[in-house]
Amino acid sequence: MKPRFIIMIVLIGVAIAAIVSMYGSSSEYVTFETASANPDREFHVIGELVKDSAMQYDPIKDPNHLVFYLKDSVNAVARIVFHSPKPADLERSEKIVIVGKMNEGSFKASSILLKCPSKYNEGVIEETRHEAKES
Amino acid sequence: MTEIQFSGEHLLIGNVGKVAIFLSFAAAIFSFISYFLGVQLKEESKFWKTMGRFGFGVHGISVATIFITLFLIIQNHYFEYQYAYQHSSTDLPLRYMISCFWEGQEGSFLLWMVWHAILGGLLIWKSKNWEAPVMAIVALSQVMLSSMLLGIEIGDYKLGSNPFILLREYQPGIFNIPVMARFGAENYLKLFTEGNGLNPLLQNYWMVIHPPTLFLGFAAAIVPFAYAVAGLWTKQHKEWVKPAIPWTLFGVMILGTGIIMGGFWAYESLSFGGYWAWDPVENASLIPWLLLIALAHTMLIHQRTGKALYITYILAIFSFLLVLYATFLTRSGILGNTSVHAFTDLGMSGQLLLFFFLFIAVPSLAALKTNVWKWTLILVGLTGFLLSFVMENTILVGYPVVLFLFGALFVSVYQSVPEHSKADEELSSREFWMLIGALVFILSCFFVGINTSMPVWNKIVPGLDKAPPVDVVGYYNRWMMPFALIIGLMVGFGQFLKYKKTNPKKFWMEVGSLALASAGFTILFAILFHLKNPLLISFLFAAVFAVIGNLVYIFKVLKGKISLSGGSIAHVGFGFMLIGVISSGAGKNTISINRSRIDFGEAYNDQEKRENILLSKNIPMLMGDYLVTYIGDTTIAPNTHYYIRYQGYDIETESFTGEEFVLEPNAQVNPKMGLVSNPDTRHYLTHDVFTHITQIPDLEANRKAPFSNFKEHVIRIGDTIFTNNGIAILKLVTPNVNPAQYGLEDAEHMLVAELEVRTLSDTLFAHPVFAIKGDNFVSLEDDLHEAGLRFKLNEIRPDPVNADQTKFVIETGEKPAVQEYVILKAMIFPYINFLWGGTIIMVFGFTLSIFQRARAKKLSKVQQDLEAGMYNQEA
Repeated sequence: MKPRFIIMIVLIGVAIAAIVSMYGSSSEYVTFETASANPDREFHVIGELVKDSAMQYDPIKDPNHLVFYLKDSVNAVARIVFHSPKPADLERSEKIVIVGKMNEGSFKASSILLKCPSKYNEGVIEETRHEAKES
Repeated sequence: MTEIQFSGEHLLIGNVGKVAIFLSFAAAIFSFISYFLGVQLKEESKFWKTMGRFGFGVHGISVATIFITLFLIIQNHYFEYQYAYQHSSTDLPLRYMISCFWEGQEGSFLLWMVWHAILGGLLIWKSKNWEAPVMAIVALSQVMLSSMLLGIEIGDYKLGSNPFILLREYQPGIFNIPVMARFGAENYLKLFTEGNGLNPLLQNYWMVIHPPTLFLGFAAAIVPFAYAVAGLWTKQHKEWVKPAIPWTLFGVMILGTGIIMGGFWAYESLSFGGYWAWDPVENASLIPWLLLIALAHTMLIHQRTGKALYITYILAIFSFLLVLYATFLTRSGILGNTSVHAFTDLGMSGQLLLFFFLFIAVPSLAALKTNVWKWTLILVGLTGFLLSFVMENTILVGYPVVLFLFGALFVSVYQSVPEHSKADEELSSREFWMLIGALVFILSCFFVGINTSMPVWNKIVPGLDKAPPVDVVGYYNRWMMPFALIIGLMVGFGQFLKYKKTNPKKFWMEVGSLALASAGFTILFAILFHLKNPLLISFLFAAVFAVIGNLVYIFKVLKGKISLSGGSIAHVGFGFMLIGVISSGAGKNTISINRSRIDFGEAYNDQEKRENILLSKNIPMLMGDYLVTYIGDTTIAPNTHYYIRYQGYDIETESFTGEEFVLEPNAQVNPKMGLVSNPDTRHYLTHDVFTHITQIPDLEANRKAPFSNFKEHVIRIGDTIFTNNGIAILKLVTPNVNPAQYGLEDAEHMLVAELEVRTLSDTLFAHPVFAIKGDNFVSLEDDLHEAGLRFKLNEIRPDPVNADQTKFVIETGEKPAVQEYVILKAMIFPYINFLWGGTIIMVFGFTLSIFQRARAKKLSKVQQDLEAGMYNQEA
């Protein structure tokens, strides 16, 4: 066999592997219901901050412990636990994308993406991402 | 109806700008048509080339005019212009005014045009007989770019977005603001004396130079594209590569520098603690760069052996197409849920797509041999374009048209290439391994590209709604590390192969001894970096091998001739960059681990790191090898600088090591953005200590909180008051020399007490005032919010006998003290200087290489002799 064919096969193989891997390792945008049904899988949930439910954050006690409530696209509310300092613009956010998994009734977020109305660009939504680090 | 005469507007400058935009558009069209005819009509070529130059000259002057007028509008704070109002403010320092250009879309396109215009000028000067076809392509891209600034409405469709639009045209709603009636609409500008301001994140030195560098890199990608199209168009398949090589190297160098600058900016001033996060916007600039590197290498193959022409064509074309695609990704808002970078959709995504598809079609039009096929292509393209306006479901038309365009591109270029000589016939040749290297770069580009395009797949595949992987960074790293490993190895041995055929014995001797030496250094480095993971160690070996292989090559084969060593020096720099990525990435260590570990009664496992720590003022905490103390802060509006002292501390011997420094991360509570904080980093040769504020106490809320628990104390000078928040000693009471300071000019008698207040962390002074004014007395309290204490001098009971025994009635009030603290994150990045140092070496190597390639054959002859000599000695 000529090297040309071997190279071709390897190239196509890697390319297909890349596509399969992309499909396989991608997460999904779901609601809390789906996340609860699959407690060990991590998902993306898009929702809004429930403003009238109390947010718990006491930096003196533990600067890495934030609890708040989020309403998903079908208006289901879940308690969110985020192991990181409170993002400063959490209250201002219009839309929140959280990544994480359901764990005993609470959604444990590993990353939060906030979408806030931009004051610098009218009509524009600005985004900030906040990560909780895990080993 | 009479028109309102608005006062205070500066309309002339905007009109100059608008005229310049239309002129730049018209001149670009004229220049394109002239250059096009200059290629097509061979007899009158000279005349049309002159016309093309004239057109491009007018275009260049217009672009410069647009740039200068927009800058003047921003500099002079003409807030009647939407662009100045939206992106600048009066307090913006001059050095950041230029950054306003890239906060907005229009400014970014303008910047891109400026670079194209300058590159076009250089091409006119240098490209000699390639001028007409190459400049036709550059001019065509300028037509597309300047159309983005037109801002004219055709029916419902808005073509471009004009940066000179007035605030009142852009937002007619301003006249409905209730207060406007008081001023009168004609004086509306009295209400708009301040702009919206520039995003504080962009107010950074690196953000002044990073975007223009990146855009220059993007702009440079058009040159190899234009040369490739020119090669297809004029059928000079063998000739176009050589003049395009220096430009390609230039593009690789500048775009690479721009990308690294962005990383350095993120590292120095963003909060995530790192220089690369595989964010879609970062990836978008990376993918054209990966292809440009592949292109540079296949160009060299073609230059030396005449092989690999087809892939060189394809890479040259796709490098620029990916620049357009990257622009579309970042500027159309499609990245939406996946990226943290904010970009506005100005409704120009349609225009960007048109630009993209037009430039897919251009190389095919140049390559196709018969007019029938050319017209078929144009017809299909136009039909697709027109149908996309009428049809509801554009995907239905989109798929076949796009497939047809790409298919036409691959097939037409393939047929156009005169002979397909194989670069893969001789396994022991340098070109074979260079080709493999290029293919690895293409694969890595493919991988990053398809993953970054996730939102695009969601849009074009019905029913697909996938999110990026949960651990984005880990996912990319896992894939990209093997690619980098293979590249590192090939960079190391590649140069020891000869073009066409290599003497295997000599090669294995050389490379074998190099590998041994590299293995030795790898062990050394692995110990130094505390590496245990075998995959990381093999990656390290590849990087070390790349460095050593090229160093040896420079000294042994090229005999240290600097002018010839450009490529090898760039490779050494690349190797060092990889070493830096491994050392700082794998060794990155968060030292601000919260050890208080309050159990919240939830199922959190022990592995979980909590990487932010609360530092109360003046209370030291042990972090890593340092005793860290928050020792104070100063506010230099709008930022507050926090002083964080690091003292080297040895836990074993319980003693200080003598190392001591103070970092000053700053933070501001920006009314528009919340907490904006900038890290500070202590740079050592061997490691960096990075510190970043993640939370500060809400001082304003505390200031507003009321005092309570009031008590009266009757004391003498020298007595002490005990409160819940600390103790206070009455030091002295003096008649005040400056009653005006307290607004008590007409007071007859006035006394100021001084109390020394000692809290847990601080010593403060309180100065309550007591004054007599006729029959009334006034008592002014002094509030120490930091200590949560209020002091009031209520009464003075003089002792007629002994003045020392005079008693003072002091009232205290209490509230919870402001906890003076910061929450911060601190990290150690070991040996990150390999990354920055490697970058500088690489840029230096590229610069040499560009000059070497641009400076004719003489040098390459010497080089060939040197290389030949080395292998012929044995043979």
